[in-house]
Amino acid sequence: MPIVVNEDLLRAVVTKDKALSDGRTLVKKGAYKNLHRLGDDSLLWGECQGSGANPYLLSIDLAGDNPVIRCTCPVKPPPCKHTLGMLAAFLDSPAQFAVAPAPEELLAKRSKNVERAEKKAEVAAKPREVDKAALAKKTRVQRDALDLLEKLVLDTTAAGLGTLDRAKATRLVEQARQMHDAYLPGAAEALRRLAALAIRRDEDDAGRFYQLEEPGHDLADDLRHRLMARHLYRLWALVRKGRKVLDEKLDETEGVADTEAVVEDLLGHVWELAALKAAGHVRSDLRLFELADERYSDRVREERIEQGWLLDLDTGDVLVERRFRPFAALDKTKERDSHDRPLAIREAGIYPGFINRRVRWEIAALASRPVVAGDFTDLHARAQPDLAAALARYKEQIRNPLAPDDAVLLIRAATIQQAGEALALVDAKGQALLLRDPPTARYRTLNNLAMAAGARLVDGVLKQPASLLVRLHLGLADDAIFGQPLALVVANDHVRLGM
Amino acid sequence: MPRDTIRRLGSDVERILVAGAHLASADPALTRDKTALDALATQLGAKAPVIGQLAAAVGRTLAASGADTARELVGLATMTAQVRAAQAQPAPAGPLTPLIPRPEIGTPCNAKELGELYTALVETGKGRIERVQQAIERGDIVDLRLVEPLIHAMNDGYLGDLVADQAIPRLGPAIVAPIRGIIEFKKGRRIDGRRLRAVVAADPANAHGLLAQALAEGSAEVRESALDAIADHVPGDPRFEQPVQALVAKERHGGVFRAALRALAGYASDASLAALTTALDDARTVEAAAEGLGNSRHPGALGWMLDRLAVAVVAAEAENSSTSNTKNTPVPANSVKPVDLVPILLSALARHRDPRIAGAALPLIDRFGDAAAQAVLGSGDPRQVAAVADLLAGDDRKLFAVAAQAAVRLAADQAFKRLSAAVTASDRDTKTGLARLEAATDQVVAAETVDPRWGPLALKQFDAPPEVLRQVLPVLGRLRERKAVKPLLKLLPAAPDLVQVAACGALGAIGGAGVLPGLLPLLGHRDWSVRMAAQHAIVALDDPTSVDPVRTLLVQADGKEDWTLRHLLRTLERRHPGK
Repeated sequence: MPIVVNEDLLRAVVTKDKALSDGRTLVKKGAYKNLHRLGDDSLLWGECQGSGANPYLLSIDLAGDNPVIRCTCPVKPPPCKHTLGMLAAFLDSPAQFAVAPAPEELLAKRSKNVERAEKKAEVAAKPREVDKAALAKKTRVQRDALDLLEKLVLDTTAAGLGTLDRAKATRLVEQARQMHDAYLPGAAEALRRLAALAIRRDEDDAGRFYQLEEPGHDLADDLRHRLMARHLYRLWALVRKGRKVLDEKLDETEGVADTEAVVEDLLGHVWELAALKAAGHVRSDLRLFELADERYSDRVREERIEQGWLLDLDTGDVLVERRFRPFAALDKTKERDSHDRPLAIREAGIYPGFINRRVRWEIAALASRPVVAGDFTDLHARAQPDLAAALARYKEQIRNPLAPDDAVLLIRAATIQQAGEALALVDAKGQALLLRDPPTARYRTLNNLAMAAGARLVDGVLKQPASLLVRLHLGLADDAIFGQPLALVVANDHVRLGM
Repeated sequence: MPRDTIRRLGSDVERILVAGAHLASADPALTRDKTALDALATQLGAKAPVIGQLAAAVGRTLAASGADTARELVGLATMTAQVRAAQAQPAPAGPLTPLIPRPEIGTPCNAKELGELYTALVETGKGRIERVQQAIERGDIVDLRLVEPLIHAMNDGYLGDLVADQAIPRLGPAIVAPIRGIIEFKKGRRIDGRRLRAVVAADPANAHGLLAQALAEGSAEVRESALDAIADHVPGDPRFEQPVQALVAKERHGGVFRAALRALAGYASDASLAALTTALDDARTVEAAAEGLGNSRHPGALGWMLDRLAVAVVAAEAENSSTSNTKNTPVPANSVKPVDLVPILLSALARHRDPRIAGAALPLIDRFGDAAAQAVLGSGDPRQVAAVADLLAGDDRKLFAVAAQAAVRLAADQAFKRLSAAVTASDRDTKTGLARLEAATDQVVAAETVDPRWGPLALKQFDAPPEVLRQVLPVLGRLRERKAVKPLLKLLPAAPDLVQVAACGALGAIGGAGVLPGLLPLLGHRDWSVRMAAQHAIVALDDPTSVDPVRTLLVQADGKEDWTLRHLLRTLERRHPGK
């Protein structure tokens, strides 16, 4: 079944609003000629008169999981204004596209695509046929890099974190580059974070906003060192577990275990959807509800990170849909859409991971619908009713030094109360979780919760049912668990607290 | 106490990690930790095998030498961190109290707009002030998630005042707590004063404690802002009278002193009045004192000012007549010349409403012009206001604005008679007549209600000279006079530029079918001001069907980049998404 052309699709493919606007202008201008479609609407093609003498040739193939958009104009990557205009024209009036047999050339391209996709799926589904020599070579490079990483960790430990000055940190950044070249981008990132924390912000930078730097770099020395130590533990665990995974790779072990997949992920493995599917990391007919949306600039990764926290309305898992947009290509990569309507995903890849697994889907798999009251009933029903159980899950995660230090969970709130300067979520059993912005927060939300919850009181008590999306985090000064509020849902009222 | 022992071990290990692994083998604290762990391992045995493993790891670290120390230490630290994580407990919440009820703040911004606004508020770059200003006008700024960035932006030299004065107060009492917590009093700078003003503006009813603290402990900048906030938001609050008077008595900082005089206006006591009258004789404080007297609630303030005015007028006349004789007479430092004091006093009197003012100010209109007329206007006596309104029939162009202001305060018939006379006057196309007409129509357009008789009158002016017509057309827009659409559309193509600008404004305000096609051709007008007027009018129509024709025009403007059209299209697309 071809991808249906609707507003969801248009939203999903548009990278720049201006391009869509210009595309609509071209439609108005009558710049399109010879607009055609296949009888099943799986292929659109036509011509658009641009500024040159010859019209651009356009086609949009809607047969696969993602639309294949082609245009002979020089704008790359697609979609350009010409193809967006054609899509908008089809959405507005499909009748202006004459039904016709597809040109041979497009059919050939389509069959090549299908072939490629099938091959990809086949390759992904088949037990990996490894080019042993190439893998051995790559693995040796990675192993050597892990040896270097071990040496770096040990040298840093021997000299002491407190002696990491600007010069040493600069060297670490250079060595991080070597990790990157040795196919260990995950290790490179952890090293860069360690180096970024080693350099304290100068006084003359005091006016800059906290988001522009690695969170935590401006903390008091003892807390900053504790944060650096956490990175050091992670690097050490990467060295040890990374070696094991690389050895297993060389042994051609079939079906990599989940935790090892996590290590691979941390080492910098780039998953493709087909590979996720082949490895069984796939779910069908997901019903997702976006509870929170975050966007920030990560200076260490040199990327803009845009992520949505999505509640699986059937299991209660909180998944994360994450998009990385390199600073160098911000203009060329699509900004993540925030979803204010519940999503129905036909099939999605779920990354290996911990509490919050990353989710990804093809454009064709996505459909949205209006919010109904039943969504909120499901939402509250899926929220963790018991704080103790939520904390147990979190503790299980942070015991693994490779796991993220935080986890996002939706927890039922019998009430929210003031606890000195902070707030506390209290569950039905009376157990309280202190809510506080982490010192490394990209943005603060505690006061937003105080305001949002304060506006939803009945006789001084929070209206029910109420659920709070919280980011659990481990305090730096002690080993206490805190929560940072991200979204509050009171009955059918959803308030996003962060950005 | 395994937890305490492990926490101590964790701290010791981290201390050594920071200082360097070479210190590990001789570290007495680590040795103590080993002893404690050994004891615990014996005590707990198989119940907690990890304790034994930790004790062994500590032992290996203590025994290691050279390069092995670092390896053992980082291994021990990693294992300790894992155990500590497993033992982590929720932070003690302490005593819990109910939440404070807060007014609701919505979340109207979508994620992309939020991101743009966030960037405008916290990062540097072009166009920030415009973006924030537009968000304030749209009301999007009142978004819960922008509270933190707004608080941050108060610190911004470029945006700070805009945010503090126009955005923060819109968030109401909900914004108070987070700002209040970061105000520095003793060493407070301008930004702290800005924060203080914003907080008081947002929640004046609960600002007493904050203001009292600012007056008692604050730096000069904070005190000045506190006094400004008292004058603007809690004038006359009896709790501040004594502290403000005390400041006036001892304050040496000029800015604070002037602000204190403004704040004193709210008090009706003799002491407050005396402080203001004394300050009126000093050139450094005369303006602030006059402003205070103008707003003073003291029952005797008006009488005192009238007496002082009479004395000043006499002195000014005397000074005028003997200018040449007194040229070399030494003048005390910082004294106020009578001729300067009179208009200042008249401006202060203009803030009061009392028939006596007119008696004193009317004779001064010839010499002190607008200031005297404004004072008469403040009297509130219809006959005296009418006397000022009659100045509209005169020839003094400087007085037309105040005369028109006076006219609109009169009863409907009286007002219409005087203001409409400016439209029908025989000299209406002369320089004086046009100035009169402009003053009259400006007031009509700005008035809360417009006399319906203006409609037929304005409709009759389509044959008037262009300079007259451009002044009258805004009145039709203000009235949303449907009958004007047809003649407006008729004159639009061929009228002079200035008339076209006014006609666009009127059509945009009136709206309705047929208006859009009339406006569209003007988007390509050779004159920039006409193009902009047409653009604003089309936006003002707020009509979703306007997107398509504008896009059509853009298409027809093939071959050249038409920025007016492109900008208009973007604006309309934002207002009417999906069109």
